[in-house]
Amino acid sequence: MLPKGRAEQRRSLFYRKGVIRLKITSAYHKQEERAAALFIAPAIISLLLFTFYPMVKAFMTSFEDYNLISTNSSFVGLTNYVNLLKDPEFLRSLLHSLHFAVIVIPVQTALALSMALLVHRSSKISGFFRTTYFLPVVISMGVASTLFKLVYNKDFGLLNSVLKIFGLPPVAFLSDSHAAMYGIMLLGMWKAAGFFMIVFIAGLNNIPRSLYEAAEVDGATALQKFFKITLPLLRRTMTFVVVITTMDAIKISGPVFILTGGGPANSTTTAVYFIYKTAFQQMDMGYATAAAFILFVIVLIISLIQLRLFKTDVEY
Amino acid sequence: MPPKKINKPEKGVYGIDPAWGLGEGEGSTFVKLPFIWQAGGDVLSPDASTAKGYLDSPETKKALKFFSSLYNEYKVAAKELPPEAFETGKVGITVNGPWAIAGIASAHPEFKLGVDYDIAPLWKGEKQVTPNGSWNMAITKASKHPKEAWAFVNWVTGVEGAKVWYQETKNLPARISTAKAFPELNQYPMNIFVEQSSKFAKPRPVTPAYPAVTTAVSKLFADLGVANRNVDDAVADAMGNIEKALQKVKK
Repeated sequence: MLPKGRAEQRRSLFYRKGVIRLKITSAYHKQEERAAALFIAPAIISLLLFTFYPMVKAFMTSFEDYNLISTNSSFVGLTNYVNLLKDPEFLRSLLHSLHFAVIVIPVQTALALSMALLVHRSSKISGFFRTTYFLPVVISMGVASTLFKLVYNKDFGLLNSVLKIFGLPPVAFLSDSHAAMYGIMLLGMWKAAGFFMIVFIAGLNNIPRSLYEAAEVDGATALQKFFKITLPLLRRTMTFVVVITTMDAIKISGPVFILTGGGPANSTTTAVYFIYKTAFQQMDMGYATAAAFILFVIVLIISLIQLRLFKTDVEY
Repeated sequence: MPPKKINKPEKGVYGIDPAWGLGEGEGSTFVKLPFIWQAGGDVLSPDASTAKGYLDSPETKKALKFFSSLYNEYKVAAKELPPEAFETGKVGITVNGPWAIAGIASAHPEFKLGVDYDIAPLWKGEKQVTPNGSWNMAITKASKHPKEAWAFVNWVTGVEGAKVWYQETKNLPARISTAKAFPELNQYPMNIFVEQSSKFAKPRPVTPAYPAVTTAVSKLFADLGVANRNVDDAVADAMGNIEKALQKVKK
């Protein structure tokens, strides 16, 4: 047994070592934290400055009667919101956006998934098709819309020339107020399906081959494999695709600007286009920001419902 | 009716593009307003306080019905046209301003003024009216240099300044003396525009609510031309939007 003094000395040495180690690690951690803070600072600052600050400011503006050509604004409480909910043009623009979404979400998702199934196995030819299907995503919306405007022309466009060859009646996507929205949908899907095809390909490649092999051994048909393996295991990818497509669809405005300008007779004026017109043509910022917040809440609620519906516990 | 004679929709040739198609935008409203004015109607009261009794007057509605009939009854106008339809022979009569002449000459040198097309004054209804709207000048309340701004406005709208303004912008001068000073403005085709502007021009409604007024007017014409809506319903919709905007600026 060591004399008491030595033992204490040892213990204290031990403790001291521990303290030193603690000191080192805490200093190291602090340095790490500082570095981390520095790295995320640009993102945080730009988010605060360009996303959250404008949002807060817009939220405040939505309670004001604020016109860009007038120098003063006044607080009007919920007036803008109340008037919007009674404004047939705004409600109609919301309906147009929902109409677009209700058709585009299932059709575009099915299209993207079918294309992904066709080309997800790598071969020389599938590479060619992947590129081809992805090409519209790369083309700018402005260029695509301008081209589609020429293609859609009732008397001189390519689309109707082709329809004529097959003896089909012409479609007036640009001047028939009942058909115009479908023209926008077609362009939107042509443009976006390729992107979601790539997402689906990534999802498909994540499904282990062994599951299919096991199913084949059990004598499963192609359809059974699709519905019992592929589709359930694509659920997460599907959630992503559907939620993103929904947000994009409800916020559709790009092709509207160039292809139809919201016409004919307002039949393609979507909610975002309505907001743009109110804000930057009629200069009515208060009313427009209130409309933007109503749209934001709608998109938020729909996204939350979708996330809940698509929730999955399947792990593989 | 001349547009009827040259109308051959089966061959892709339409009689007339009465007022820059049926799209939206200020240009669209600008060329459509004369339809209402020529019939003796108007959009707003002279003090720009209301549309009641003007946009819904029998004269205005008559004009709107006529406009709609070009598209839906006589079918001499196409609900959509390809770009440069007039220059490429797909529409027989078009309505345009002096600014279009140089554009046509540079984009389509083969389509010659005096050979392939000619220019006539705008048609006459109950009244003869052409739209008026060059550049407007204003000094804002918040201006830091109102005196200097006024000195410029005073000069540029004066005899000498207006000449420089015309030379630089090629916008029709607002002064008859300036128009007389340039030989080209007294010869065909520019003399037609100068004469019409000096005798029959009417400015668009002057109100801070104009952005809402123009949107409502171009939508009204589209409702009638494209969607063939009932005139009374379409006018009632436009009236509602215009009155709402007028109320807002009155506050």
